[in-house]
Amino acid sequence: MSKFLTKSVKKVTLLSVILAIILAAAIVVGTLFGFNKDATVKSNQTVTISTYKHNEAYLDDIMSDCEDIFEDKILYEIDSTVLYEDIIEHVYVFSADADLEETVAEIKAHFEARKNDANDELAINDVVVNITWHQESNVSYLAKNYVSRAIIASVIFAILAFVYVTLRFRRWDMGLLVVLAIVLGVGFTTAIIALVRIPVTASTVYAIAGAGLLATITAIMTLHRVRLASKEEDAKNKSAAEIVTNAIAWKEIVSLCAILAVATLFTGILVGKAGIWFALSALVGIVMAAFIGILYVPAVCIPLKGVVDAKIANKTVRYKGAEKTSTKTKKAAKKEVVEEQEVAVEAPVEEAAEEVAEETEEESVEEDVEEAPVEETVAEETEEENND
Amino acid sequence: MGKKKSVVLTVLITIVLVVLCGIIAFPVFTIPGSNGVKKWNPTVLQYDLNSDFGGGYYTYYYPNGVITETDYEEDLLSGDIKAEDYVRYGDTDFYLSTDEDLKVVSEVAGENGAIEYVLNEDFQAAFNEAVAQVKARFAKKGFTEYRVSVVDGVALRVEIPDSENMENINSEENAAQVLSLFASVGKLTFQKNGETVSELKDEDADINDIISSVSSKMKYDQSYLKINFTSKGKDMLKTFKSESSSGSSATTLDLVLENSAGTGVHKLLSIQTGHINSNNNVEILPGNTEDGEIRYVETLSLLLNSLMNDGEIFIGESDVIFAFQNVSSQTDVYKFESVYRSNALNMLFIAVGVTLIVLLALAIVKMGGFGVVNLFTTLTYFVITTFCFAFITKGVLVVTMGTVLIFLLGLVLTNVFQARVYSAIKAEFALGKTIASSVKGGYKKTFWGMLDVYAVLLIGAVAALIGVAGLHMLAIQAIICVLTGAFCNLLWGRALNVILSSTNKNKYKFYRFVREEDDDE
Repeated sequence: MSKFLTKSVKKVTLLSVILAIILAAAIVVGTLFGFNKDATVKSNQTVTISTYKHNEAYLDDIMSDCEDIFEDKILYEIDSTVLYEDIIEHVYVFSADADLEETVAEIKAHFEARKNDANDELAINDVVVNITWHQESNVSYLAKNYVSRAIIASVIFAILAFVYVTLRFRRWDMGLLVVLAIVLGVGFTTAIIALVRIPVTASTVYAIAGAGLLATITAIMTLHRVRLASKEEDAKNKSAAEIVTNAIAWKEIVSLCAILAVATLFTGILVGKAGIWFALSALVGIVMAAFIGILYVPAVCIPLKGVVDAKIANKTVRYKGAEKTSTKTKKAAKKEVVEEQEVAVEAPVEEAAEEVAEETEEESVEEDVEEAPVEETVAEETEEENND
Repeated sequence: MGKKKSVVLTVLITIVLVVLCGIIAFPVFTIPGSNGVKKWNPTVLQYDLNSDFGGGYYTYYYPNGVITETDYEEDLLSGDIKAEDYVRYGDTDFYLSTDEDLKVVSEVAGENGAIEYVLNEDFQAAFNEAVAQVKARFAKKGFTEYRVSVVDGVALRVEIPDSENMENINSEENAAQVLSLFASVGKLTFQKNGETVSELKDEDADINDIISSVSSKMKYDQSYLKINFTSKGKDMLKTFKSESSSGSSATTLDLVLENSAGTGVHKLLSIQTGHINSNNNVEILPGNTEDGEIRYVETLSLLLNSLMNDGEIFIGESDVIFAFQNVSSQTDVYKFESVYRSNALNMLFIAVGVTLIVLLALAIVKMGGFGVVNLFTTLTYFVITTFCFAFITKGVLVVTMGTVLIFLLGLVLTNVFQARVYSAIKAEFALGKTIASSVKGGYKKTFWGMLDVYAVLLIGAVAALIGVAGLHMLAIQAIICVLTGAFCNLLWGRALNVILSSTNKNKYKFYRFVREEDDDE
């Protein structure tokens, strides 16, 4: 994995080209075909079967007949009841371009025949079945300024995140990389959703917003490690590429994104069709965030870090105060050297004298040690005698 | 921390968490002794839901002079209409009135010289203008999701989510009110005793000459509608007050919607002298369900502003005002179930539950005693967010797919950060440090990294408050998740670690650490 990362991270141009191609393709597809809207938000046709609530027992029978005639043309169905009234509706929703004229005529004729058949259950129980067919063109489903406000919020988030990270990490390049992560997270999730034609529901915006937040998390996870690695003692001996590549928080990012992806997909599948489209959009965002945190931010970080590090180094050299300080330091160092040399000349005489003194001291100690046991033995003997 | 103390604390925390989890998820049952009247409702069933999970309401807006096939046949059978009063509109299931006063159709000569009816172009233009008005109202109302669609070019179908599932608010009533009120298109005017006031009788007179602004306000937890009047309007109110007190005039001044000569008026407000304040402006509680009044006042304020700004729509050059038929909140509103799956909410609970269990089990298997710390931390996150979504933001937030994503993001992030802390402790321990020192070092090394992530996430969530409707709600939910996650990872998790590790004498076993020299021994 680390070999793969090392190789991939260094290919910032290739990664950028891939992203540019995706973006260009998405713009072309988006311009030509727009987003692939889900059936719930685009224009459609409806066939409504309504009857009285007290006939609810026959509804399954009626619906079964309808479904036999409609076959697989139905996009989705809606069950509804009129508030405080005795009417229930079952709405079949079809695509706007489905050819329903004959089918609807067939259904109407079918129930007319059942109504007129004296032996039919519906006729016997006087069950009223009303069938209406409508073309519905969707004219509005998003709140006013929904998209423009979302864009403004993203811009403000990017600016504030830049300020926070720049101040906290004391490096503007880190702030810039977080902004890049937000822009790519939001922008490319939108682009890929348009490109791969995932059906767009009113909830898709949430998946895109979530992608922006997740991309920020993965970017900060990596940048935080880069910052710590740059502070290490041996960092000066390493290149920017080495520091960045070793600091990628890929295990954390992969765990975070993998678990989140599985959980989101699982939830989407269980919730139903709307959930699946949402989960797929979210999945695009999650994969994009992982790509940004593991590959793209580190890839851009390497050259950027090199440039910023070099600038910082240049600034330090050009700083006159530093030059003055270094002159002072040099003078002080020279003084120290001269003093050391003087000390070195005096040292042999002093050392010889010290050696003589030490030797004398050692000899006198040895003498003391040798004398001591005799004295102690005499004293012990005297004591024992006294005790007796 | 002493072992006894830590055991007591662990037991207490466990009891609290178990009870809270019970309140959140214990299934519905009838409370014994309540004669089947009172039911236990878990927290998860008290959420406000969007249409993906909870379905919603819809209704149709039919213009005056347009009826459905069903209504046509019923009215024909009952004798209310004659066959020639209406003509079928193309191949659709709609019938159009041939009444000249309504200006719905125009007469043209057919192939055989017979008269044929086609949809009046002016009527179509007026209808399109009305659609734009209605569309703008729903767009401004701030629903997480809604849908306005034109049916067969001559009617409207409007759909809103079942999002106000509050204890004291009848969500049906609330939704029905919105759907009913927003169908109002016409001329706004003041009437006394059924007569238009003299100030508005002149042809050029307009409601904007009388009212300068309308807004919904709150005072002492009570919402009311504030109507500011122009100097002309203030004079009108003064006259009304003096006439009313002397008993020479009506006791109410009605704000009504005039549709057209043929379809009568719709009363929106009745102003009495008591509603007029010292500045000769009106502060009025429109009178509705106690807890639902804020919704009603907001809706009414939005409607009045729309009517004042857009004005009436005339059909062509005639003096016929375009209008939709009254939508009865009692009989014309349909309630529908979740679009794609009726048990979507149950499936959502199962999915979140399984995710939670898998995460907790994985942590215990991988991290031993620290996995138990993670279990408590995660459950705390679950409990806090669940309660906040259900109660703190009740009536404000709606549970959408976005909520689920943000909740899962916070949940997984909390777990990943706990794992990061454990790895850091393990790395410190590998350097030969003592357990206590390793734990301290592990937390110290990971603290700022986690804080930075949460700080930037919080900035993002706060910035998203600029968004409207669903995005604004998502921002509030994200703030709750971020703050809870930060609390759990940075403070609560650490405290829990101290408490739980103190219950275990063998710290090595608790953290699943093994010293190499210990093995040698």
